Amino acid sequence: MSERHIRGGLSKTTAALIALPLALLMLVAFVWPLVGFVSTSVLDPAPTLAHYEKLFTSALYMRVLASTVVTAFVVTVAALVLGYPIAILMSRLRGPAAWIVTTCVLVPLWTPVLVRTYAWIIILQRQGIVNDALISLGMIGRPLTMLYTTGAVVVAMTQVLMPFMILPIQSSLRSIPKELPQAAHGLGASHFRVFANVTWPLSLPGVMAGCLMVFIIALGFYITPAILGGPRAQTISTLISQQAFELLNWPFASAISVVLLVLTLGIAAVFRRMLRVEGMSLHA
Amino acid sequence: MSPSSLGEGGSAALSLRNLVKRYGKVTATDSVSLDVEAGEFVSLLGPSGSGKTTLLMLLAGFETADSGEIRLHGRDISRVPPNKRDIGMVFQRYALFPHMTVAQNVAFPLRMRGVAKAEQERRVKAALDMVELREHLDRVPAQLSGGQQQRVALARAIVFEPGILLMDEPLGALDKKLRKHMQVELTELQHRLKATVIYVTHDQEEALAMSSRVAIINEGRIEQLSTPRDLYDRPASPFVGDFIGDINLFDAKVEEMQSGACAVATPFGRLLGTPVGPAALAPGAAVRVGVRPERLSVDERPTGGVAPAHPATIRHTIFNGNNVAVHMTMADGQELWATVSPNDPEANLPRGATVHVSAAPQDVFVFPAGAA
Ligand SMILES: Nc1ncnc2c1ncn2[C@@H]1O[C@H](COP(=O)(O)OP(=O)(O)OP(=O)(O)O)[C@@H](O)[C@H]1O
Ligand SMILES: [Mg+2]
Repeated sequence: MSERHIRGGLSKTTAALIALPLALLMLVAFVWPLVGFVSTSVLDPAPTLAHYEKLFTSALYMRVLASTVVTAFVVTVAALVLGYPIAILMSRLRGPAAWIVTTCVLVPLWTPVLVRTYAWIIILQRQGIVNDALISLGMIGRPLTMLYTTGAVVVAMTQVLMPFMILPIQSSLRSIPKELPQAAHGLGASHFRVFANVTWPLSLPGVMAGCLMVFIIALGFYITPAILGGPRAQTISTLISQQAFELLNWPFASAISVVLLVLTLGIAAVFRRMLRVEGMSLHA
Repeated sequence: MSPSSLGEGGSAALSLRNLVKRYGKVTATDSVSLDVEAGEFVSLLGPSGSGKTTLLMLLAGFETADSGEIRLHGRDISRVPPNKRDIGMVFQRYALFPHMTVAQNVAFPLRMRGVAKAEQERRVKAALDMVELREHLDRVPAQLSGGQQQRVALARAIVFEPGILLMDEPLGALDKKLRKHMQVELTELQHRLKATVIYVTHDQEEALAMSSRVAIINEGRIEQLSTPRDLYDRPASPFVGDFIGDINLFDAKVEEMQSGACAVATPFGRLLGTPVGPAALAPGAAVRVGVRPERLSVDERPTGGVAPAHPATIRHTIFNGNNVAVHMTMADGQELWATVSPNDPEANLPRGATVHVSAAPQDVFVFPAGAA
C-alpha cells in the first residue's frame, strides 16, 4: 500500500495541488452545509429520526414527494418528445438556418429563469394570450384557469429545461457519420427503419444524458413551481422552502433536503450504469 | 430515351445515359454515358474532386441526377429510392453499424427484406465464408482490424445478392501490403460471384490491376473508357496519357498530313507522329505531342533510321533496378525523360554527354490542342 503511494507520489502531489482550490471551494460551499443539514436533520434537538418518520408517515408530504417525481418524469418525457425533433433539425441544418435554430434554442438558456417564468404568467393568466385567443376563436366562453396548476408548472418547466435535453442529443446526433444512415437506407431500410435501427440507438447516449439532466434539475426546481404552481401544486423544493423560511422548522427542512439529495444521487447512479452499458456496446 | 438507346440499355447490366449532376456552379457529373456488361469489373479512376464519388452516389440513389437516365438490368431506377434499388455498396470508411455485432451487420440487409431467421443465419455464414472471416461474429466493429472491417463491409454488401456492387475506394484506408492482398482477394471473389462491380479509386495501379475496363474521369466527364492495355497504348487525350503511366508532353504545330500519320514541328525539330481522335488536323494547327519514356530511343550516334533524330544533352540518370531513367535537355531547352535497359551503353553515359533521341511514328501521339 505504502509502496504504491511512493511510486505515484509526485504526480499525485501535483494533481492534489491543482485540485486544491476546487476542493476547498467544494468543502466550504457544499460539503460543510451538507454536513450541517444532515446533522441538523438527525441531531436537532436531540439525536432522533423523528423528522424522517414525520416525513415518511405523512400522507400529505408523501403525496408532494410523489407528485414531484411524477412532475419531473412528465417534464422529462415532454422535453424528450418535443426536443428530439428539434435536435434532429439542428443536426441536419447548415448555414444561416442552422444558426437561427441554434440561437432560438440557446437564447432561453441565457435568459434568467425568473424572466421566463413571468413570461408564462403573461401567457397563461385569465386575460392572457392563450385565453384571449381561445375566446376570440369562440372555442371557450369563459377564461380557463391555467395559472397555479400542475399543468402550468409542467408546461413552463418543459420550456425552461428543453435546452438541456436538446443540446446533448444534438451533439450525439452530429457525431453519427452521415454514411451510416445512408448505408442502412441503401441496404434496404425505409426512412423509418433507418431511424429505428441506426439513428435512434446511436443517439441514445445523448438521450440518456439529456433525460438525466432534465430529470434531476426538474426534481429540485424551485423558481418555476413556486411562482406558477401556487399552494396547491407543491413540490419538494417549495416544501423545503416553506418549512425553512415560513415555519422555521429547520430540522424538518433538512430531512426533506436529505431525502431529495439521496433520491437525486440514486437516479444519477442508475443512469450512469445505463450509460455505461450503452457506451460499452458502442465503443469497447 | 430513344428506342435504340432503350434497346442497348436492355442488354447491359448497368446503363447510364447523359447523366448530369450540378452543385451550384460545379458540374460534378457532366453528361456521363456508360454501359457495363454483367460480370464486368469497371473502375472509375480520376484525380481528387473529379466526380467519382458523386457518380456512385447517383447510382446508389443518395443523390438525384439533374437529368439523364440510369438503368439497372433494363429497369429505369433514376427515381427509385435507395432502399428499392437492389444495389450493394461498400463505403470508403466501411460505414459498419458500431452498435451491431459482425453477424448483425451482415444480417441487416436480409432483416430489412424480411428474410426468415434460419435463412438469414445460413446466408450470413455463407457471405462471411466468402470473405474468409469465420471468427469474431459476435464482436462489434470497433474490436476488429481495418482489414477485418473491410471484409465485414464487403460481406454485408454481397449477402443479399444485389444486381450490382459499388465500391468507393474500399481499400483506401488499408496499409500498402494489406491493400495488395485485398486487391487479389477482391478480384478472385468478383470472379467467383460473377458480380458486376463499379469500383472507385484514385490509385492507377489498383485500377489497372483489377479492372476489365477503366473509365478515366476528369472534371465530371468520362475522358476515356477502355481496357487497361488500351488506355496505356492508345490514350485519347494528354490527360489520360499523363494519368496512366508516364508520358513526355510538349506543344507543336502540324507541318504536313500524310495518310494515317503527320509531321509536326517542335521547337527542337521535326517529328513524325500519329494523330489521335476523329478530328482531322490541318497543317499549321496547334497540337500537343506525347511520347512514353520507354518508347524514346536514345543513341550515342545517329542511327540513320526513318524517324528523325534530335540531339540532346544528358542531365542525369536514375537507376531504378529494372530500368534506368534518363533525364535530357533538347536544343531549345525542352526536357524529356526516357527509360532504357540497364544493359544499354547509354545507361552509363555521364552528365553532359550528347545523345540522339528519336521515336517511331506510331509511338508519337499527336493530340489536337485544346484537348485537356
Ligand atoms: N454535397 C456537395 N455539395 C457541393 N459540392 C459537392 C458536393 N459533393 C461533391 N461536390 C463537388 O463535386 C465535385 C466532385 O466531388 P466528388 O466527391 O465526386 O469527387 P471525387 O472524385 O470523389 O474526389 P475524391 O477522390 O477526393 O474522393 C467536387 O468539386 C466537389 O467539391
Ligand atoms: Mg470520393
